[in-house]
Amino acid sequence: MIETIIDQLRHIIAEQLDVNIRLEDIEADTPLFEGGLGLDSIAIMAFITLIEENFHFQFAEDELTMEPFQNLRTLAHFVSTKMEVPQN
Amino acid sequence: MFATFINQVANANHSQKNVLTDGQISCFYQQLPSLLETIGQYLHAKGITPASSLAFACTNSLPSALTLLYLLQKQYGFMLLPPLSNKEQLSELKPLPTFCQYRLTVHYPEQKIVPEDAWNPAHFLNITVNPNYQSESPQGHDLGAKLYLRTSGSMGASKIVVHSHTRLFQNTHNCVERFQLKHTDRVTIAVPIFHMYGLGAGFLPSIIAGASIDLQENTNLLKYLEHERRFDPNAAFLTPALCDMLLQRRGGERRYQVAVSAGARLKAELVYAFDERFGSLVNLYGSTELGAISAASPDDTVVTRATTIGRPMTGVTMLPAAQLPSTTNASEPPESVFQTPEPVMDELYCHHPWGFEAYIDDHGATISQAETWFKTGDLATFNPDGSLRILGRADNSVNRDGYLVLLSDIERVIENIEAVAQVVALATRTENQRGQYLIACCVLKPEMHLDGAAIRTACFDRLPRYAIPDEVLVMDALPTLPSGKVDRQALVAQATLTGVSPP
Repeated sequence: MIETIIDQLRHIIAEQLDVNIRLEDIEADTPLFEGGLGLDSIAIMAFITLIEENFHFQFAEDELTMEPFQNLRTLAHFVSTKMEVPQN
Repeated sequence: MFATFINQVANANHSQKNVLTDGQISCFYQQLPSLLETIGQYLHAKGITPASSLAFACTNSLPSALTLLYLLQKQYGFMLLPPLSNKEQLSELKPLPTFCQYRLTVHYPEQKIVPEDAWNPAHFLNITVNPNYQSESPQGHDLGAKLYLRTSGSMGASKIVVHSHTRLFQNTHNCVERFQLKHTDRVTIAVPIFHMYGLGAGFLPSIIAGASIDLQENTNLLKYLEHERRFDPNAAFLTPALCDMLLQRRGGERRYQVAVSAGARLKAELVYAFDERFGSLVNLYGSTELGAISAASPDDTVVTRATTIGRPMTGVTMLPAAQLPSTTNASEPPESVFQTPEPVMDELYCHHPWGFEAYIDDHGATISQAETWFKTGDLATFNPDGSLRILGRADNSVNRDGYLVLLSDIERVIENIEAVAQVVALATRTENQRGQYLIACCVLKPEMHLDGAAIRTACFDRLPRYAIPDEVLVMDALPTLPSGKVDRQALVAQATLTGVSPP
């Protein structure tokens, strides 16, 4: 489950986000910000929206913290919790 | 100046409860004198005195902010540089100007700070000697009590702007007044303090006011919301992009006394929306050379704040090119343009009593002294009520992510891509989050096959992110004027029809 979500997230970054990062350069434990993929503030904003569109849920405001956005593994864990709860 | 005021705010009644923080460590104003003293002792032990000129890579961290305050307190001559990115090694950095004797960098891991280390300069200050330093620099000016900043301008050769601490202080004071900053305020600074905006309009005015300050390093929506929850600010220094993100993502109630935006044009609808939900958003207009030039006040009506950059700061005069005095060195500004009953549209010139002194090169040699009337390069409408509206750049440049980008710089880079024979970069009227939507129209060399997307991908390795065109079109030929020059207007119309699909 987690691995599948990580892979979906990798594809979102490589194919849908306007950042010019290749699929093979994205690993589950690569930091998303400085020292890793280097997503800037505009890219991370677009990424949040793409995650919502692709996984069909909305981040609540208090869920928008740095904690889940450390790397794709932490993010996938977060996304999995949202997917288990049916959204109305 | 700065020394006196730092002393005052450190001894004021509120100094025991007003804090400076970066989200990891905090101190009270009351602690400033002893913390600055510790930094001073460390620098002196390393042989660094106010007579040494420094290059300081400054982050939005508390150790950086304290070092900065110490340098101002003791009237050092220093240049502010952006912090090193994680990828950069000291050895691969661009050489420092030869008039800088030392490079100061702050070592400050973003996590797990031991408080004792945070206050010990030996742990956070890294000092290296500039190998290119020339003590006999040919400068025509005194090095002490100066602040040096690189022009934020083009990606080409940049100049160094010289400010005196005295004028910087007056500039700071203007901002305290205009933004009505008080010691009861809690100010979050989400823009870098190594730039004039974050430093001269945000950080230093908040210090002089004795306000509680929260510094955000390299912020994004997630960090901003975290800082907001924890620090509970009532004043903020932002960019238009951040304002936009907050409007999209921030629910709930929060009132700001004043939120300041600068670095790029603020859309009117953004100000209206912000006003309704979060409070008074004001537009600041300024530059690396002049500091704060004009800004709306939080008391202005929402219409004024949404559509103008307010009125000139105290002491500042703005004129349309057509009304410049015939001798540009005339010391008395002529009668105000604002006495005309109709708005006037023209190129904007500015007389600023607290602006920069000169441009110098990397060897400290003077390129030119500041002129009485500074050409901003912007087109403005001068309203009869004294407010101004910025319409855009008068030359072929755009503002993106807060950086000034010359279209010719983009063209020069794309021309160097092998398959490209000719290229014209265009700024359209559409805007996206980085600023005006940029298109590059290319003609390929004979027998070459490359599509727009591939050229754009090549740009990622050659241009900073903010300068990468949003779209690259490959054309058979570029339309020309009878003179043979590329017809940019026709090209904009054509490009807009053929494929532009701004988000």
